[in-house]
Amino acid sequence: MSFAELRCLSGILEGETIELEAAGLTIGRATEDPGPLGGDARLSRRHARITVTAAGSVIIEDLGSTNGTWVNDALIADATPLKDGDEVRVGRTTFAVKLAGARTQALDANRTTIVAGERNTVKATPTDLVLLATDGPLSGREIVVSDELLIGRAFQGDGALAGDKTLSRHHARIARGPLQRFYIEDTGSTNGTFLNDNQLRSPRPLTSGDELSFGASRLAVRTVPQRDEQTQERPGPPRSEAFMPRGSAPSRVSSRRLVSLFAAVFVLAIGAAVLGIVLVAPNGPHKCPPAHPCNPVPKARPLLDETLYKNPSGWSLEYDAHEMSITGRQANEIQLSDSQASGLTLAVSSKPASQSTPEASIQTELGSLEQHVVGLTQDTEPQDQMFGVPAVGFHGGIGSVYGGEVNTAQGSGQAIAVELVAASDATTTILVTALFDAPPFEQASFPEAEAGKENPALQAADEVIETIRFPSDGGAA
Amino acid sequence: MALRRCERCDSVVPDSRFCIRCGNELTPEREPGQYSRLSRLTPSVSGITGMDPSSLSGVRRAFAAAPEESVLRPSIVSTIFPQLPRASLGAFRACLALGVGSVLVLGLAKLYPVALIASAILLPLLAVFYFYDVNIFEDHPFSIIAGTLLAGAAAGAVTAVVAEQLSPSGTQVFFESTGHAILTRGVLVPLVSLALIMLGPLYLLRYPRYATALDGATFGVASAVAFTGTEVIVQALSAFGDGLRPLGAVVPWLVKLATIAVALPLLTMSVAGASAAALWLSHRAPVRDRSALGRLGRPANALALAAAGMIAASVVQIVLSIGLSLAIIALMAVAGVLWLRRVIHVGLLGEALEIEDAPAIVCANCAHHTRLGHFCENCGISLAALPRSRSA
Repeated sequence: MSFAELRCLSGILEGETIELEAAGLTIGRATEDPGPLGGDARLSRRHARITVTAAGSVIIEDLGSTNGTWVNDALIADATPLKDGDEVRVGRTTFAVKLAGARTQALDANRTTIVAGERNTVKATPTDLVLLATDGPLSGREIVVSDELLIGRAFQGDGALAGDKTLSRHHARIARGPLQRFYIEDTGSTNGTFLNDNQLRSPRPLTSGDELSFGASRLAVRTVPQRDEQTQERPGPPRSEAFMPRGSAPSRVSSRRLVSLFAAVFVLAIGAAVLGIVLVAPNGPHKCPPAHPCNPVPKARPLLDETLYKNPSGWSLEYDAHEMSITGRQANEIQLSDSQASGLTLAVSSKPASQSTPEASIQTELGSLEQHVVGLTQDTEPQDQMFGVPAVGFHGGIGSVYGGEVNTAQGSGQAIAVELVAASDATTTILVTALFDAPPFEQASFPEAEAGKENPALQAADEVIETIRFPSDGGAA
Repeated sequence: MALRRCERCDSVVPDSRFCIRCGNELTPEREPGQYSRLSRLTPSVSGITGMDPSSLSGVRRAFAAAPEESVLRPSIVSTIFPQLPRASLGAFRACLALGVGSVLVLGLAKLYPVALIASAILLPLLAVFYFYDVNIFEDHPFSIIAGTLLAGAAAGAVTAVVAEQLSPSGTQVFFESTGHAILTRGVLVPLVSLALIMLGPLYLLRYPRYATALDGATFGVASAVAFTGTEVIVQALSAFGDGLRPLGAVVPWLVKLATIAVALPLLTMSVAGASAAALWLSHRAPVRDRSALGRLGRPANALALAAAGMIAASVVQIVLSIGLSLAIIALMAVAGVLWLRRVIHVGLLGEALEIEDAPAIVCANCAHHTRLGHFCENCGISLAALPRSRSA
């Protein structure tokens, strides 16, 4: 005896009717048919229960579901009696309640009726699907689908639609799905699959009267009762080894929505990063084109505590021992670091002029530095004018300013600036590499520096560079 | 229902395309008498329990979590996100391509700090979408997944700070000896990284409810993806003071961004995931399955290999140019993906032996009716690898 009808208005079972028997119905993914409601993914494992009381009234209660149980758009917290005309929503499924006293007995002949309660058995009438070609190369012919039909140029027989050349190789799939209904899905076609002139975006159930379009072919859909002998005699559906059905189970998030959501969140995160960086460094690196220099060329001051360094190759330099100290020494190279911790490191090296020109020395040094610096490149618009005319001691040479960020295994680190200047006399080429922890224009590293004034780190570097004497100058004499 | 005997596991199973017990693709054309048709389903476990589990992975080439792909195919999305249904694979691949494309476009626009952030969040963001899409919280409560991600993120932040302390500051990096750099940033930091990444999964290993190799892989990947993202962001903080468009040549930056966005996190995720899965396989799987991965199934060996991979990735960045580093790390990432894929594959095949028979269900991957066994009889996917909200 049926106590109520639950007519599905939306969801996978849309159009179906569930008859409620005395034992009631437990709805959920982990329940027996028809409790999963055709595979509604938004249901909890045990979502809700509909029971019939001794007095014959019908009550619904939520079983602690994640997405809730709704009656007439109100979330229910306790057991709620259902009355005729109520609309119940669980997961993606909405059904209208018709109590036994009020419902009409006339059911659509084509509609599947599912009986819930007692043994929760499914009473579905197996049907075949008949597709009548109304247009295209197959026009006038019928295709009977008893289980599955793969449509596309890759398939033999009916699935090729008599050689419709506008089909994709794997165009669409019609298959029997939950509760014996037939579903159609597009399997990645180029020209699309259309159901009643609407392009398919997700698997849809098929009913009599539907019209399908694939390429140049148009097919009318109708269902007919399945004949056992027909089923057994018919060869199995065509299957291609390369083709696998894409699946008609509803996704929690549709592909298009997922990509859109991802893009939106990604863009938001990038926007937040831009905002954060702008807040941290509102003006960014200050650039000064050569025509409009910001800060003047540093002028060397007299060294207060003059210390002379003589290299065995015959060149020499002087430095202020109060401000700088030797941190490395090799045969033809010396490293000086600023003891004021301003981040300046100066390396002076030499080679015989016959072995290396100033240009070659700079190129070799750049190659070596690139290992440690991401994107080391020439800075054509430095805020500080490092050179008037590039020179080493009394000898004019070539030089440039470079910048980049320290290379680390996890990404990039602190920004640095590099000043390279090289010059040559008749016998020796000397290369000076001045490394700064941060670009000289970063005033945070040099609090005493102000726009329009000389940068003290550059000044310290310039003081040493000016004292370099080549062997021809009597450097180590 | 027509039944037959599977040639591989010897179980009596429905006569369909795939064996529901071991996932073997059943021979479509059979000689008469090769197997017997039975009038009703009589589940047999004697055949399967007598089978050598180590032979499973060797026989079946179709990846148990995505049977349309070979287990030897280094597919990124289906490996690091193994529970994705077929319908979502394309969307996730599109998201990954979109993310990588965005990073490269930002790099081309010389917005290097922004590109760094985008690189850092790309895979963690995808992982969060994955957890939501497959409703991972059905089996792993939200607090567990969130806790694993947070632990990984905290470990990444700590490691970035430690690495910074161990490295010479600023320009002193130019004067650091190669030996010192290799010892600290090449060996010590990766070892600390791996140890911290594995803390979260190791903590969860003691809970018997997380019993499958897939659980282990999920925790390992989650911890690693959060780790790498946070590490990059913390490391890059010092570069933010240079504004949106700091000085730098484009090509080296693009190479570096590709390393940070894809190659390095992929390597870290795959070795961490594979190590965690090996741990699970050796501690949680039935005794008979514990040798299925051979020597790599031993946790000590797996962790040693993972550590070697991470150390090698760091060392090549110290001693080689960034282009060559990217090429080598990318190759190692491919090897890592294949390793993770194999561990998941073997783990799922091992799980197959444990699942009890149950009634027919609709497979969430292909929508065909199948017995709730271990594999879908139509598409061959491991039912244990289906999204939680769609597996039953």
